[in-house]
Amino acid sequence: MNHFYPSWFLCNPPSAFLQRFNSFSRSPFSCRHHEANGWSWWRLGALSLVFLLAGCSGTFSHYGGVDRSLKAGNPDKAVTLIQEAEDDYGPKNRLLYLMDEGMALHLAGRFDESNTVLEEAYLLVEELYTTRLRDQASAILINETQLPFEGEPFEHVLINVIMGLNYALLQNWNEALVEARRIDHRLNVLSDRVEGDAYKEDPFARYLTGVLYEIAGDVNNAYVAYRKAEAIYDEAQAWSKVPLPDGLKTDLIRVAGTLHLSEDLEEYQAKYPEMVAEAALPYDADMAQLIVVSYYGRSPQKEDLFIDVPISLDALALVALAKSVGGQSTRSNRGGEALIYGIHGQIARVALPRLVPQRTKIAYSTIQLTDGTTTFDARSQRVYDIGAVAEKNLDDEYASLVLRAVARTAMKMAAAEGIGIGARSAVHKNSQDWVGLVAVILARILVLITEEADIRSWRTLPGEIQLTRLWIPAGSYNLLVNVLDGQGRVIGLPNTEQLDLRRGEVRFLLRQYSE
Amino acid sequence: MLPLPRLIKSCAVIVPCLCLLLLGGCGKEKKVTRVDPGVVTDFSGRWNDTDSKLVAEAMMKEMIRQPWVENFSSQHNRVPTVIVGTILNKSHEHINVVTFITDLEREMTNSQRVLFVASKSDREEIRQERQEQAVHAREDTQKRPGQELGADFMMKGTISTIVDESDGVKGIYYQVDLDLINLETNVKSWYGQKKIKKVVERKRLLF
Repeated sequence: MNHFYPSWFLCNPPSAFLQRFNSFSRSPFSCRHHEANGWSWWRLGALSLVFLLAGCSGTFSHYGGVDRSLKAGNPDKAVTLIQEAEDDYGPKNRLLYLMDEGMALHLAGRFDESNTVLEEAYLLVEELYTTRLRDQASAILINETQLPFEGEPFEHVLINVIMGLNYALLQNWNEALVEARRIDHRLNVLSDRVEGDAYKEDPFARYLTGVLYEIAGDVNNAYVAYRKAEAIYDEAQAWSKVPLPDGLKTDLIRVAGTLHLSEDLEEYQAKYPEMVAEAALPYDADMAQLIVVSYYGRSPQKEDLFIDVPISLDALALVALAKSVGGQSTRSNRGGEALIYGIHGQIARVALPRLVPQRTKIAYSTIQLTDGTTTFDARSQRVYDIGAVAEKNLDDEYASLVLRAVARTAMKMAAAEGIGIGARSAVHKNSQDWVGLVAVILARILVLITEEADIRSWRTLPGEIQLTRLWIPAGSYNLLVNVLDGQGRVIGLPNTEQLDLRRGEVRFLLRQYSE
Repeated sequence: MLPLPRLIKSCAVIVPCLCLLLLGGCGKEKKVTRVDPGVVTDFSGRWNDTDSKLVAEAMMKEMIRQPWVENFSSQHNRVPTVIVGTILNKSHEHINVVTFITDLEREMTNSQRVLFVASKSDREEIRQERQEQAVHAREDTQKRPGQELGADFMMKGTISTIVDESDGVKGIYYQVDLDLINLETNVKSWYGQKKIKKVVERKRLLF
């Protein structure tokens, strides 16, 4: 823990502090009677100080390399970097480690390994339902990063989504259905628990379960899932920022027809007339089905939003000066600010997380399959905006985050004042003034330095997911994938692959672009 | 609102108490103990080796007690031959169905009331071995082809779950259904069902 101590403090401790601390170390419970009051303050303060010092969280510096590897199309390198950083994550961030590793393995096409890792993550989420009082105490005393990383509700759902996709990519439909059932269960539990308009349903997760059920031949459950997905896409459009995908409209018409639900079929045909022709295409067992899952961009990152609260006019002036000189507060410049604010003493700091979107210039991709004589064309459709869903999840808990951050800051600031009083009463009268002052300034600086937001998030996720689903006759095809920007301009080189599709085969393909 | 000195004093009490709470959590986190494989262990509430073993044992005992065994034996003057087909996992867990099938096969074989023949994948390996014997083994030790015992019945089944959960309490209801289908007539000769219900409670807060 020593690396967290300011070096000047270790090298030049105030002599009175050192003298008292040595004495305290030798005989912590045998202080002289006339100093009893001072010693109790001193001991309480010192104990608090030790824990405050442990407050700075890890930096996860490997993420830069991971991002670069993913952008360069080298997910295997990203896997290695994450695995090498396992110790940096530590036990508190075990879930985050598993999620990062599982996703990187998924992107690297190592689907079995990804499932092994994500299964551990899935089980860990259940265990993390139980919180420990000591972790909560740390969070109140220091900051939210002291809590074990539990992940957001949408991240829990995505663990099963990625596992479901892994099994689908392995064409292991039976196990993919296990994930479909888990998604269904998780969302049902969430719906029961969450009140109001908070995140409790996931349009893409519901849609994916429908696709998996249909592939496995469970058309009834597929229809139920498609209908739910349709309702959620409509209801959640304000925050999910994804309109009802055309593919889902086609699926609804097709499956209603398969189940001979004539009333529903008529209703959907009337509701989505533009998709009727598409839904009438042959979908028999002789056809092969190709589903291309495309990941674009990177998921949004969380950053600290430091709010400095001056409680006097001159404190306000100091904050204004600090901002004009140093700019926006960040983790890198907070040390200097903490020093100035700590000396002043009338500025409190609250840290909250905020999301920084990672914009992508990719708008969609086109897919072309050619067997020499016939060409099939399709265009990907946006089915999930992870950035928007992350934003929604953060919004849902913001009120509680603010409340906890304000309470924590108030408690820490008051504790710092207590340390000053304790130090003052613990030393000889001649030294009281300066020892008390040094102690309180030191404590305030530590309070300010240790205040940071919980900015942990599943950063190996993509920014958005798009799907392309098409039925084609069995045969050998040359697959050509182009990614395009909003103006329809091709970005980068096309991706080509030779595909051999058997009769009745369903093939999932994964494409990832971190541009 | 508390005056500042009182607030400071309150915090000076609360903060060290919280510190003591932090210290309270220290201790040994991992311990390994060797236990008898027969000991029932339920840690997570998920499907485990004990469930697999107990369900297979109970269902096979029930299966061989039913009249279809006697009926077949009296009709054909031999014990019925059974093969295990697909046991489909329709649950919320990635259950290793292979271990459950092995448990079924073991119970069936040990009962001596039915003959149990090797599964499709096992048969492929054995046929390969016979082909190799025909070329490489001494003639008097070669095993002849075409002598396999055809199964009379195929056992198929499913493992399903219904999960209900609220506020840290989770109820898991497992249902194992097994069918014995006559391979000649497609008649279902036996239908067995075994249910297990588990309740897993998780505390929201621990010291």
